[in-house]
Amino acid sequence: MRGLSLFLALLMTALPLARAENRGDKRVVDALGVSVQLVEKPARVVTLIPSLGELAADLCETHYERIVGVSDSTDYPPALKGRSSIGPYHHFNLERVVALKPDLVLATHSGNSKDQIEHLRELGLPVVVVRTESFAEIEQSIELVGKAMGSAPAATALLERFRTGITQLKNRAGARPVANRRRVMLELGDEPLIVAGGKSFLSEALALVGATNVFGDLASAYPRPSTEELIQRDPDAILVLALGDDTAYFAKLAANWKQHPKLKAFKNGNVKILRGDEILRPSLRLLEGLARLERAIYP
Amino acid sequence: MKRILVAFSAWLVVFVFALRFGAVSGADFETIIALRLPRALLASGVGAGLAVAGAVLQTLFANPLCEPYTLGISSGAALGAVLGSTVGLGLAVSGLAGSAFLGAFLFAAVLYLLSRRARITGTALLLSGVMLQFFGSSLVALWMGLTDAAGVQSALIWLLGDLSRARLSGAIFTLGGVISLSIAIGSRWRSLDALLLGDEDAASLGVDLPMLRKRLILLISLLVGLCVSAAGLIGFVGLVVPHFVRGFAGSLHKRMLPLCAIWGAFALTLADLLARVSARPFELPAGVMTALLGAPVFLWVMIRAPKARLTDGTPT
Repeated sequence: MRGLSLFLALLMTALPLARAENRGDKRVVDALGVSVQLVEKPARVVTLIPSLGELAADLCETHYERIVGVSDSTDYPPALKGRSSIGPYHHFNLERVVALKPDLVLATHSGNSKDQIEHLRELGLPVVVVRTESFAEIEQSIELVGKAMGSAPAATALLERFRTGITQLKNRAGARPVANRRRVMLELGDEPLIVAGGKSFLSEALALVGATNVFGDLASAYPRPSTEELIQRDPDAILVLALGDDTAYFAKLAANWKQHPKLKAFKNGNVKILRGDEILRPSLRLLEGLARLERAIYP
Repeated sequence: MKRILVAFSAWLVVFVFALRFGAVSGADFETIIALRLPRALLASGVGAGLAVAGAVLQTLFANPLCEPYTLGISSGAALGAVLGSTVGLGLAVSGLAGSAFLGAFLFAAVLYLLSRRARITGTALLLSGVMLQFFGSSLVALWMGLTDAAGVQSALIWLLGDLSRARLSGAIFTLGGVISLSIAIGSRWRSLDALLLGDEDAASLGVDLPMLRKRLILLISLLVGLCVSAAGLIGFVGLVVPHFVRGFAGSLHKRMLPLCAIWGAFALTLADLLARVSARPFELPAGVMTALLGAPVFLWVMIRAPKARLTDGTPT
């Protein structure tokens, strides 16, 4: 017993060693209101989710070497494909992140685990958390990441392009007569059926391109309605969001709607597959995704 | 004493290996202290706690299939953790899921109230535990069905057993708690030994059965709640380690319980080490590893044994 308590006491004295110090005198307040101390222009950035890899890459312009670690399935821009991976975003490997010795870690509030983010902060790593659940938050996240990376001018330019793109979409949507508004279902999964609900920013995206989310009244972000419910609501179009490059699986999902030939969307040939990466990753490519969404609904 | 030394050295070897190897090769001293040490300590504490809890439950209910989760306390913890992580009230202190502990405590309280009724028998209590288990897991499933994916993912990982959230202070707290609770349970070794003879004989030897049951349920609930809130649901250790230890050390608790604790610590530290390094760059859930390793080893020991030495808690 005495040996054990001695051992534990020794461990306690080793504890302060674990605290890495934050160098740098720039302070950035992240989306959770935490003030993070950073170097002026971080040169070892680790991104914990694919969308932030894209955004950080956009803000590096061509200096991709600043991004030293990314999460699994970060595949855009292609230059990031070979980066050392820290594991899947929802449960990344702490040891790998620490081993990369980052001077900036970028995370999202909704995608990453709160406990893991907290753990990284306890280990003394500078973690900046962004929120990307609405268009307003996406704009804020571009600004925040720009500030954190010391690339504010690039962020301003990016934001400008983003806002221009959004305004153009809004103008085109405004030009369409309200009576022609399409009622759309965005399908994210099958068995059980998972769709975009009212709290998802996809609902906002549909509104932006001048369409209505047929499940927009459901409060949760990704509800699982029954097929009967869907048949009753009978949307004008069903869009299957395909993730990654393998579309065969999603084609099967779309083909499943053959079982319900009475659906308006099926009768009019409006069951389509939509590449999901662009629209589900809130970075500049979102504009591209929104344009695709618009074309799919209003060809 | 010799057996304890052997077990202790085995644990120590695995512990050193657990510090030496991890997700990255050639980690510096800081990483080892900040990430691997807490993890190895937590694995040791949780492994020891689960093994002791399993051994005592097997005796208490004279049932070889009992394990720490049989009483449904784990499903209370799971419910707490899932509710906590989706509502955003993880109540995590130093890597210990506070909401999980609250859930475990709530279910344990129900069980304790049941055990206070003098007329309730061991079997009825066991059944109540199993009912609580089903009730809790159906509530978990219900909640997951009704809410969004955000947060559920991390809760799912936690349900498979996850030691990666270990913090040094939390690990030391867990280890300390496990040691003190195990001592409190182990100090009742005389009554536990009497229970091996069956309820009636134990009562005739002067054991106050309802009282013993009540106390042990309280202590075991705390022990399991502590382990589960620190590391999620890690199966198998609590079921197999006691049987393994009884195979060579017999069923008398004074000798068996300390060995259970140390071999439990060894088993989970080893499982977690393998979970971290065997599939790099991926990390497997420690709970998967324990069963994957434990089942074949257990079957091998059973086949190799000349007679059925792996008893159901009756003296050999």
